[in-house]
Amino acid sequence: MRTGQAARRFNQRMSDHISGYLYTLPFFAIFMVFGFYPMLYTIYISLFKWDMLGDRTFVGLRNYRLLLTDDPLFWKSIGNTFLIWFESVPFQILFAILLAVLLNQAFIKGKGVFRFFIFLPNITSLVAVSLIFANVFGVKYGLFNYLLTLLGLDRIDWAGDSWATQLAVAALVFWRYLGFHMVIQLAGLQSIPGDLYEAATIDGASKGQQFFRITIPLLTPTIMFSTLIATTGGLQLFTEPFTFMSDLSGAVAAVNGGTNNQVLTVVMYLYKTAFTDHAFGYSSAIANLLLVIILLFALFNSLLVGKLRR
Amino acid sequence: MRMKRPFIMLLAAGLLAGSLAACSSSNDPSSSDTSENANTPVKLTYWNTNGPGLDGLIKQYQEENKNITLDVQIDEANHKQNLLTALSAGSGAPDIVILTVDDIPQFKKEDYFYNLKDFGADALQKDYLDSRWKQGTSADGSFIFGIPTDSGPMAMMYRTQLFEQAGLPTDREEVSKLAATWDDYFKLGETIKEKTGKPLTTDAFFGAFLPKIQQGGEFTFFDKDGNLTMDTNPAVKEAWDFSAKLAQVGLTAQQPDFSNDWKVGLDTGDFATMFAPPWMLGLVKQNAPNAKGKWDIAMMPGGSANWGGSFLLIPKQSKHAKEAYAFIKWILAPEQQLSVYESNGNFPSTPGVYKDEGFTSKKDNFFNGAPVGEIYPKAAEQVTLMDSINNWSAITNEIGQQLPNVEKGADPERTWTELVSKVKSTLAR
Repeated sequence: MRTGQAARRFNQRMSDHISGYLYTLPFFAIFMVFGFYPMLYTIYISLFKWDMLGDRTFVGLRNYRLLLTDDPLFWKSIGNTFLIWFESVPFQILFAILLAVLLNQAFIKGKGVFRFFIFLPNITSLVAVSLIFANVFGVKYGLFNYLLTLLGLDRIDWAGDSWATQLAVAALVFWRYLGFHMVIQLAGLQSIPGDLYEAATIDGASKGQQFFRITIPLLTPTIMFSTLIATTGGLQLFTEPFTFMSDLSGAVAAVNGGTNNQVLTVVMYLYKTAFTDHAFGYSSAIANLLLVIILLFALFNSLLVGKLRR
Repeated sequence: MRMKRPFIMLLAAGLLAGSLAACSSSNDPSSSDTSENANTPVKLTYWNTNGPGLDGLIKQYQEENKNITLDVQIDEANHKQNLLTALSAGSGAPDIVILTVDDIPQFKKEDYFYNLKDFGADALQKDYLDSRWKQGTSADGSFIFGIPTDSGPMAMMYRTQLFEQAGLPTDREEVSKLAATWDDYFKLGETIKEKTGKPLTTDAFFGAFLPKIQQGGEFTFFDKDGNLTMDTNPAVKEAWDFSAKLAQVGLTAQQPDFSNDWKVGLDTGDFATMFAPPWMLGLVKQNAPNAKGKWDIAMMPGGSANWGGSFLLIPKQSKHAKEAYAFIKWILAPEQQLSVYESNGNFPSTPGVYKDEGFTSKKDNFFNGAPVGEIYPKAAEQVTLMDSINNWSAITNEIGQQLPNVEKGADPERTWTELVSKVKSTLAR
């Protein structure tokens, strides 16, 4: 190495850079091995017909062609995923905001207790949760249908009627993640400065006006965040419908998402094609298409947030 | 600044190369030829599930063979997936692995497992039920993938009170005669439905299709070369038609086995009969403890059929195949199977022990004192060879999904046609 001030400065800058890279290295190393490499591999595998044990046959884009043109179940699984999202997330976030606003009021005593109980479903073991829900929505001996018969109404076939199963799963998702979103909204509310409300009160604004003119606009970024989390989570929905169906009507119903595939989400379909049908190339192609859908949503979301900021 | 890009590239390349190497490094199978003597400590990794009840024996084996340590790992939920991943990645597979009768067909790939024949396993065949043994081998029997653990010959549980109400005999022998053939069984169902209003069985899949297809011969969904024959083999269509008929006239309770409604139904007696291998008896006691004395056990229509049981296999990746085989041979030997039966109720796949006195005298008080030690051996002898190649569970999964629709009124013929074309496109992927 040369000596001289310029060179030394260069060396100093260089070592700064290197140490910077070294500090971020653990993340990138792990990401490369467990994130990036599998992603590339999934793209590669999706070009083959492969049962995971045995020879791979290169089929080019056949898997994608079949998925897009010759697989009604794939489109159904996308439809189901969005339907369950639509039946759960908007209400969930609306309720989360209302609950958060309530819990943010000064007159409520024992907020910690309420917060704890509303958050509780989120940290309860999913196995227990789906067992309880399967008991509630049991066709013959479920709590819900028992109440219906008490009222002299007909039982609902939660396992067979498509809309009913979808609603049951949506209810499960709603209940399970309500507390999570409520806590996020609460944090958002508490970051709104109190003097805004004081000023508004002095100016004679009613509670309602305060809510719509101050709370909602300032809470928008938090709501967007909640929506994004709920959307990416919702598009990857798997465990809730799977375990619920398994308890409700057995393993076959879990794999297929019900007798009419009514709660078969994209990820459940991916899982079925991989581990029941042993079509791993096909399954990888589904994974990649799901990635594209999620990317589109993320893009849409960031555009929307950008527009709202402006 | 100029060094930045090459540095990152180098780093990335290094990492990628490292990870690729880690993923593709395969074990050299030849190294498994162990020249170690009996005193060299050997650790055997064993991927187990909770089913087979071998824990006590595993402890005993390690005490008797001081140089062997067994590392038993249980991950029930992801067992099959983990094995698939480890096998195809070329590393991470255990020395011994358990696979159920449902899973083994998909894993019968000669590149990934030791042929236990090479260790002399063909000499053991005579000790085991033929029907169970053949499930663990290749179609022509030349490649032995696994040795059978416990067995699941089915008998028929029946609700005595419902039989009484229907004016039918409740004696085991007579009930067995009443349900000797599947036609008899159907008629029995009609009588019970008429007199008591209760359906005959749980659902059309477990209550009819599964046992029927298991009685349909060694090659049902596929021929011996693995070609799809579900649409041409009459045994498959017959099983479907019978299940559909049962479903259409309302002889099924639509409370599929293992669902919550089924668990309650066991207690309240919502169905008159249910097909049950020995392991099912434990589940019934667990899920419906109040039903003690309300169920009895007779023979099922058409002889019997096997439901459940597993195999122990040695993946090619194992470096201690010889030790692994010695362990498998010991733990699944007739003597050990008998002791597991006595401690856990797992029914042996080695018919030699059925004649043991401690065995034949066994009765089950929960089931009205039914002589299970006589019923199940008799059932086991009647189990015929059954389908165990290719992707059996992809097809049963499709059928299990569609039968409930027939129960709810879908046209059986149309459902069948759709089902076959669906299976075809699934298998083509």
